[in-house]
Amino acid sequence: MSKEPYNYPFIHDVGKYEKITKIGHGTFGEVFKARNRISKEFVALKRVLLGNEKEGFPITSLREIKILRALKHDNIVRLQEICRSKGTPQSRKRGSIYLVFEFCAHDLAGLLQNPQVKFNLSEIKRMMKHLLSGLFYIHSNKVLHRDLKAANVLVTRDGVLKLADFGLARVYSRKEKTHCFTNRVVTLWYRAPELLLGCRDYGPAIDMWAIGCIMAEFWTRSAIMQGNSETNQLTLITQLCGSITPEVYPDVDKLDLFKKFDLPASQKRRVKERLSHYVRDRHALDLIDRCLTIDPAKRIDSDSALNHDFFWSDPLPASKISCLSRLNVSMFEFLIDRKTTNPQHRPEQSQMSQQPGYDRVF
Amino acid sequence: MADGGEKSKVVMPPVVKISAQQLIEDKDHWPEYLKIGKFIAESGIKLKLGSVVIARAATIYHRFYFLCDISQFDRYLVAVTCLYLASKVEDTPRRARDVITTSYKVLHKEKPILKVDSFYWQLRDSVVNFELFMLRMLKFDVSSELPHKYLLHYLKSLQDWCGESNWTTNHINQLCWQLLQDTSLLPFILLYPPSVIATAVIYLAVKCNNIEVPSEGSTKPWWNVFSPNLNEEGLQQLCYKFMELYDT
Repeated sequence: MSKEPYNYPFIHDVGKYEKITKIGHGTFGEVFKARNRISKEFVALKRVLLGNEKEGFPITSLREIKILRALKHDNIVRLQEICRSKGTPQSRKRGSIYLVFEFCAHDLAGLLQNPQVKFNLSEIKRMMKHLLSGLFYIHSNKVLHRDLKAANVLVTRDGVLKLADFGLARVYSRKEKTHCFTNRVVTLWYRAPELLLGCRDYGPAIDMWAIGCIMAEFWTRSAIMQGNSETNQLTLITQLCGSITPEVYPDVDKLDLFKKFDLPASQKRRVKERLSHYVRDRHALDLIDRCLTIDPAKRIDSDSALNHDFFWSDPLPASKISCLSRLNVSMFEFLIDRKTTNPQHRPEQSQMSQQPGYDRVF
Repeated sequence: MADGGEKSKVVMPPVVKISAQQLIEDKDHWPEYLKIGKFIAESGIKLKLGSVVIARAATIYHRFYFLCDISQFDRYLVAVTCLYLASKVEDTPRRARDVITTSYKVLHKEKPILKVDSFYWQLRDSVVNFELFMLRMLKFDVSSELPHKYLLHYLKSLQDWCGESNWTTNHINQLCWQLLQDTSLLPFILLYPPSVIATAVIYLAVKCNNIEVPSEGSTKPWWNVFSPNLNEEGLQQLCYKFMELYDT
């Protein structure tokens, strides 16, 4: 670059980073672990898929960049810069755009799937506190994450949790009550009941539902409600959280799909009862119970969750997480899935239908 | 494109012919510059894009115009791309096809509506490729703050302070919004913080309507509550510039 006589305002070439290994993939593109050739610092490169786009640069990536540029917090993954790669004329490939993030050693899904990784209660409190602090920060900035799940929570070597993947995130305004958002957001297992029922003017409560699911996973070690279809997911929710009726969720009959689903009636709410085999701490149980409230209006918000007794009773949140410093390998869900096939994890696997998730988890 | 050692076809020394400051100072440059701004505004309105989106498009245009040697590009292509990109940045996306056919009609009023043929696809590819080019030139920094939210916030505070009747009988809110919309067609945003622009717009509207903003014993004039470092002289100078817009 320095050979150029002009100081071009162009963004850097991704060649300044050396790709090491692929650490994730999805509809959005691929994620690589890479290292700055000069500073030797590790980064994560997320490639924005271009070329097949009918509508130019994807609006979802623009949103992600806009939101991440505006959000600066210890518990939000940091966007360092944006790079490009050249298209090669021979193969007629178009260039790509890469988002360069700070590198985090693990993701929460990868860690929880590793039986050797053990967290005690005060370490879980620390991690939940990080998670909720990050969420409180984005919600105060009027941003919904819309894809919270254990795989999108990154963990650094020092045990700091960071919310990542803002590819589905959106700005919302509290006053405007006529949102027309898509309800096809959030990975099925973490999707709140109002979304499954077709609600389109949802708010931060959908992220809190996902937080409840993630929190329970600290003890159960795998997702608590692994539905294989939207109907099945609603059934699982009903079996855990009780029947969805206008009594527990007053506006539910106004939702598009409420009458279309034939949901199990007169199910009792059994969140605490069923999770108590795993979660011994009563404050933890109570917080999960409040996150998994059917009515989004009554569901706990991130601010109240941070003030919950769970964080203010003995043992207090830990100052460090001891087992992470002993881990020499990165734990990413993507890598684990490849190495040891984990049939329970992918919802499209055929085992799912014969063996519904709740049987195995509880 | 900027890599050394590579035979690059694009030779584009960033010669800036005129600075934003010079443009604002010298009214002679305005008609030429405003032509594009008005084209953006007219196409934006036909696309049913809101004021903020149009101001966003104009802002991206200003940034790009003074970043590089604009004579190397077709200004209407730049303008159309700004609108297309702004509609995405503000989360009210318009399809490339709508943006192109609408702005084509605005530019060529006498011609029939653009058909989807090979010429259309050429235009579309130009817009899509140019969008990426602009994003790279601007380092993806296309969502800088606009004065609009400051204006709304300041107007709300002043309205509570002065009493609603003064405000509504003189249509202050509408006047301010329209003033801001018109001023966004010149690159004031590159020279002044968004909060100062919003304050100046209100100052002008209040003066035009002979409204006294009560200070209630405070030594601080009302505009210093919003922009602490602003003196009345600077405010007036900015307002004169705003008014000159209507002589152009």
